[in-house]
Amino acid sequence: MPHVEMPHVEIRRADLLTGGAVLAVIAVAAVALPGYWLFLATSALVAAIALRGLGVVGQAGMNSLCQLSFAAVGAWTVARLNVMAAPGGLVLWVAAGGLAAVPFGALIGLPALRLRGVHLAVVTLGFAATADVVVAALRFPGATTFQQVPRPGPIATDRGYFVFAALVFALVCGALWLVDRTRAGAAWRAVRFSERATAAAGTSVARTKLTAFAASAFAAGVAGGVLAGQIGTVTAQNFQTINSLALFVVAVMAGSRYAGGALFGGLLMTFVPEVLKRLGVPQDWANVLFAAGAVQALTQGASVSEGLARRLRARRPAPPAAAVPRGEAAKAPPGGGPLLTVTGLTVRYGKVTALQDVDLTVPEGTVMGLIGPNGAGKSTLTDALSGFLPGATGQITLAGRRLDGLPVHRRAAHLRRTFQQDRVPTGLTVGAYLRFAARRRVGRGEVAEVCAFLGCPPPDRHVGDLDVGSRRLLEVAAALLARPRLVVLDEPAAGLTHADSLALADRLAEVPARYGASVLLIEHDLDMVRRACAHVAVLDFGRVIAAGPPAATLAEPEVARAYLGDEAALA
Amino acid sequence: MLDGAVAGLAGGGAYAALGLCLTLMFRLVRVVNFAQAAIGVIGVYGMALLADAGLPYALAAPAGLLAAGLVAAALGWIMARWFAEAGADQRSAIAIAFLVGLLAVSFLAFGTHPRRVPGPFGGALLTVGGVTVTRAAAVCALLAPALAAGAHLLLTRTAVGLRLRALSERPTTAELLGIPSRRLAVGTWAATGALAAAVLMVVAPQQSADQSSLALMVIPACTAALVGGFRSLTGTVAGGLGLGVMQGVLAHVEDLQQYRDAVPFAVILAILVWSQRREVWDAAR
Amino acid sequence: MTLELSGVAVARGAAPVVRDIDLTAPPGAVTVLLGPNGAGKTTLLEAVAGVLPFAAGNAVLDGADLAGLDRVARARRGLALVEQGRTVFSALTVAENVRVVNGSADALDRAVELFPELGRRLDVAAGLLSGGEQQMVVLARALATGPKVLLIDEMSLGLAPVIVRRLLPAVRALADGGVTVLLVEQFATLALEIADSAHVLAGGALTYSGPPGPLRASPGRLHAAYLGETPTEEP
Repeated sequence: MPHVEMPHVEIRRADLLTGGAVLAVIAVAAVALPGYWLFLATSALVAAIALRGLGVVGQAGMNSLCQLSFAAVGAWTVARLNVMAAPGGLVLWVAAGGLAAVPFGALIGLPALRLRGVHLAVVTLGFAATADVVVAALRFPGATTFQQVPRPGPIATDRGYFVFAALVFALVCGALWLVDRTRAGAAWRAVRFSERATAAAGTSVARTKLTAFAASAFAAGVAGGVLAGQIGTVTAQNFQTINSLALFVVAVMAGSRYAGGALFGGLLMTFVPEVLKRLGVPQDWANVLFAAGAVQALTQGASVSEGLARRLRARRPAPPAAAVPRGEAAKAPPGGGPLLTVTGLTVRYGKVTALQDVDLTVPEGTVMGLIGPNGAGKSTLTDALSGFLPGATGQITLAGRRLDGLPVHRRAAHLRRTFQQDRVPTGLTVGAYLRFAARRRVGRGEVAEVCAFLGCPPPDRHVGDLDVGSRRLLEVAAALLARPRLVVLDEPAAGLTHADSLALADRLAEVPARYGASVLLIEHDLDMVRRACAHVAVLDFGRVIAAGPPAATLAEPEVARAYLGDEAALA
Repeated sequence: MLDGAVAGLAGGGAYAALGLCLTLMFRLVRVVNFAQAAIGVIGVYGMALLADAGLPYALAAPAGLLAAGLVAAALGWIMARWFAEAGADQRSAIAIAFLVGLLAVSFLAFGTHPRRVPGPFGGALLTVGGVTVTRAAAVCALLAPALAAGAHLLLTRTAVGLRLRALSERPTTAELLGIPSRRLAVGTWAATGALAAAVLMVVAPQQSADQSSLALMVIPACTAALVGGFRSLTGTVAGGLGLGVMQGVLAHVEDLQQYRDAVPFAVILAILVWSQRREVWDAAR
Repeated sequence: MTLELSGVAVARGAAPVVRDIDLTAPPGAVTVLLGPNGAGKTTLLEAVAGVLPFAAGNAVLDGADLAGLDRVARARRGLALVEQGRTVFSALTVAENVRVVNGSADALDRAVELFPELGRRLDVAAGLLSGGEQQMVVLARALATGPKVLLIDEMSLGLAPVIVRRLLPAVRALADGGVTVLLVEQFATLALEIADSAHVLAGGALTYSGPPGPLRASPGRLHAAYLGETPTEEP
């Protein structure tokens, strides 16, 4: 079910600064630059538009080596519309060029659903080489007849066209800036950090990747269209594979997630060769510099613009630890009828049986603990419940609905899980992450309420600046905010001090009454389990070896043996 | 048709041999080395430069191989020094920077005009039933399987190969056992770099050998490696030879001729869609 | 060789994991490090072996500071870490797993001597072995490096106690042969049977350091560290 959402606009100081600086540079350039330099500056803007598009794919954690092939589609469309004498003129044609590139972006995005990393990069490179061949064979419409793409009145002059290019750049960046603040934009960044966590937060990984490629191709297509208008007749030369590779390298160096970074990259690509030429230095040095710059940026782990953005971001001191109400511990209610029913759940990894015929019932409205020694199968059970193990056999029923067979992001509507590893995407603010993970419209008040309940940091903090313990709490808050029927928490207290763990236990005991969800708590800290849970189940070697009220269950000799290797320990 | 297929063996053998370099690099040092052919270009053009200066081929060729090996070793050292803990994605992104940078360096060092590359494998080897087999095609087609066999023997029969395999499976564990990872990684870069130069030295004299198109031979080589899943040496050889033959045949089909270089992409996509049918998540857990 | 840690603190990323660790492991003895999951035992061993950097403090091996040595150099000084999770080279045969660190026939003979059950399976890919056999291969491989100090992390992970009972005496025998052994183990009772001294790590700091006797005699202390509460009944 697609969500339509008004972007929740949060204007930050860094964004304002970048936006203002970019506009100022463009305004000064439009007035002050002499003709030839103005032409170059227009080229820089064209490159910047393409780079900003590349930034979207990069933001989603994918490498695209065929950005100029998408640009070629845009330029080809503009040239074709021109030859056809289509109505609307250049401005509309440019938009059409962007749209024409979108299906190609989606086409390249399709392999991204299965492939990631370098294999995907190889595909995009193959596409770039293929586009070279096809473009060379097809010829650009009007190229042989020297049919120039005409510019309508106000943008007929080079100065006017520069302003037009600047407006297009600003529009593309502005639109992406807005998208960035919606759940779709948050999903791009989340999928880069972890596909699993993105799916577990109820977002389709496939759709996220496809939209990233589509948006990126759109920007590239627009860039190609603007280029066609700038130089009149485009040729295959403008879009060669090696230029796409150079664009990628500059994107790595300058960073193209931000408008400022994209503009900086565009300026580098245009003016560095020009300056070298004027100095009498061979222009090939430019690519050597870009390559060295990209390697340097990667050693720093951040591009030039990301590094700047990090420094611009005022680092505020950590908020004081949440007030911990000690004393009377809340006790989880015993709960009602069965909410989650697992029967005969079996998971095998090759020859190893990780879960063997597990039967488990989590009652409605309670907190249940799941414990067991390392390697007992607790995390496997979590993965199987949340849908990451399609090979699992057995039945999983939640509130009367069969979950087995559903993909992860569909199960997430009713069942939320957290991860043992830190899987909160670092590129987001606390507020953006919570709204992304909630998968429904949540007001400020609701966000503030759950943050206060768990002692999470304020919404404007960056996830990347938080310690691991706070991130775990944030993940729990996000799961609660989604209002599922069941939350499965995989060691939420890892990274918290013992006292904070106990405080969290008290909070979890309140969750059923407060948020209407049952909790399945996987935890090693048995103090915490005793405190939070009304029931426990013990797993060992993939089987449930004991279940019942905490005190009685933990006293069973089987349990002590599972933990210490010998029942003698209990004597 | 058969003529085309046989002619395609030259290119196919080169794709296969370069693809082997890529597969070995991916298995042993976790990188898709997009700069593999560009490293070879340095060797080939270095050799051509020396030959033009009057050095006999027998001296110029080893000097070119050495140059490629040294350049590769330097790049490998950068990778091992600063990106030892980085994942394959990041290392491959760096390899793209290497490709762009090396190609520019090559233009700076050797000029932008294509050079005539001398080579001992010109002309026809034999003609059977109207089908001509060039010496280059024969060398390339034999070189690739020989390389695969050699690499297989090295990996399975020698102490160095054993260490390389251990390192490729569990780099941290291997280091904890005292296996010198950096030295072995740099050695792998150097060896595959020199190999890439050797391959290009065979094919460059037979075709229009401008530096860009030689460096971008890495794309069909990637296709070949992909057929083997960047793991199987046999699969890579089969993929490379098959691709070359396919292109050779298409060159003789009037309507498709100009698209024959688009074949690698179609092949890549078909293979990927087939081999990656199952959903796979990004992390083990 | 004696391994001495003083004032050691280790962090993973920005998160501090262990702090103020003072610990001495003498040669010819088994020093066990116990504690609940998440206490930081693995982190500490990894830092000593050079996988993670120290945030504070230092490790001294027979008078020589380990600071500035990478993991390869530390391995060559005689430090061997047996990592958690049966880290065999699964594509290599059992014999190759040993040969990769030591090509001499002698090393293989010693491995088979220690674990005769491996003798029949030398040419089998290590990935096809059972969990217990894999752990034997990992131990044998570490021994082939000729270690002076052996750091063993959760050898028993995912193994049944009966297999652990088979492995631990082999560790004891190594110590008796003069090797310094620092053993992290979740099956505390079993580990204490072969220990010369014991440390309990909880919440990132040492809460007990001393002879194993008191821990063996009053399992309540251990029980408290593991299960988080002292049981009412005492032996």
